[in-house]
Amino acid sequence: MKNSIVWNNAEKKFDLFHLQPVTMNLEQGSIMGLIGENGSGKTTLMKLVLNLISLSGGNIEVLGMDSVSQEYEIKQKIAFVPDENIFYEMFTAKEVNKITSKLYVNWSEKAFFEYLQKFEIPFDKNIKSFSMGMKKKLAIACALSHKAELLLLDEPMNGLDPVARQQMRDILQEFVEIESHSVLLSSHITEDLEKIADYITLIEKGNVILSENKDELLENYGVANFSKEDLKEIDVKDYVSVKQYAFGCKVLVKNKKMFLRKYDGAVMDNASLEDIMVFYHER
Amino acid sequence: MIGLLYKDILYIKNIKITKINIGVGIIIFMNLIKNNFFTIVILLAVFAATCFSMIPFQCDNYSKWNEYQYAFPINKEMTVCSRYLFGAIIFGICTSFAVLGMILNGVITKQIPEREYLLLYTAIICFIPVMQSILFPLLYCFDIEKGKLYAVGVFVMVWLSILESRGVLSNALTENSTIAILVIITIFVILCYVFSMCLSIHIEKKKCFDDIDNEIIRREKQ
Repeated sequence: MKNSIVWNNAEKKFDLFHLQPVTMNLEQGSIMGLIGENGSGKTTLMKLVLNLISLSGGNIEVLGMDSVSQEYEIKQKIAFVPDENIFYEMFTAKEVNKITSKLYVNWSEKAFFEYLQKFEIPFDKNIKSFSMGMKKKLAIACALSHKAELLLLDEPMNGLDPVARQQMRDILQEFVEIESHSVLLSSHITEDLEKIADYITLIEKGNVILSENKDELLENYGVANFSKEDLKEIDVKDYVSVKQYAFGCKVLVKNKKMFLRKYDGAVMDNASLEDIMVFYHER
Repeated sequence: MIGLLYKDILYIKNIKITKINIGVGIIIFMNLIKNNFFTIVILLAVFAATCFSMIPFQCDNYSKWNEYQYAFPINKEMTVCSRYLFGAIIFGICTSFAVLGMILNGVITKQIPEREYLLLYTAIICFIPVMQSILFPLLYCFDIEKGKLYAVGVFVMVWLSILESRGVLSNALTENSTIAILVIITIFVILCYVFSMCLSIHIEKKKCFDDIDNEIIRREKQ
């Protein structure tokens, strides 16, 4: 399987923040979800791929090309959807088409207007009058109309209602049906990532804590419930972190089968991505 | 580059241009019968060119285009060159309006301005690209808010220098042939524009977008 993005010890140092060296890859035909609290480094990771900010160390390969020296060629083949609208709000979708059609070599006007119709976005109304969902869909329509092979989406579900979120998930799933396509997206709404992501990468304070297949992650991780007395008998090496409540405590375990073998009779629940994110944060 | 240029033109199209047109129309009408009509027309042309040249910078800043434009397949040379091309178009449009105003005035009042005055006005109009040449690097170097303040400074400076050199310019225009003067002015303007464009490309290339993120992180940490 070919990779769409390969991070080789890619790192970024800011005055007050350090994205520690990242080594991982995004396979073609897959969706990778980036999770982590605000300011953990998700957007920084995306901006490095786009060369919007300079690398402090390491390198990144995007679609087999170097992210710095072959920036222009890469950007013809990828699309970025930031978490906010970047077009002037007085523009109409028609005007956006006129601008972007001149920027991309493979721009398809026909595809763009088909997406607008599909997403029910008016052609002649100012972006200013659009809802948050419509603005996101317009950005997605732009991203899909120049035959991009890789989509980078920063918080695409932010501010969308459940129906719009479902539409967005459908769009992304349809996009990765083509084998050479892939998606890297960050989202706070872990529920969406549980539904569409193939891989999950958790970033915490600039460190990539884990980057794994989502199904394996959800299959292996678990949340065990104990009373405070019983917790004392659990080896700290056997769990990631613990959350104390008034009537007991919960621990996140990396391998629930092994844990249950060792601690027979423990009450184990499946861990959601949100649980994993929260427990790692508590660590 | 065409896409970027088109974007800048759309900015101008989308601002409430009607109000400006009405304002300009009233001023022209009020001054149509006065002797200083030419000066007013030229002043308006220069003023309009200054405003229109700054609008794309303002809109880019407002719409976060500045931050994310390089996610598109564009480079820094293209961004700067398209902005200068846009400036040249604005210069062309404003000059055309000024010339049209002068012709209209000539037809209505049946007074043809003297050669010296026409050349002087040509020289003043050519201050538009000279002023853009000073203004653009300033707007690339500083953010739009500071840049606007500098723009006012540039505008005042240009007009003071025009007033100061009015006598010298008049003498030079009287002593030399029309073609020689026009050639000198054109070469000077082109040199200014090219030098300014190179300077702006240099500034834009040096600009580090890491600073924006640094600032965001600093604010988040606070």
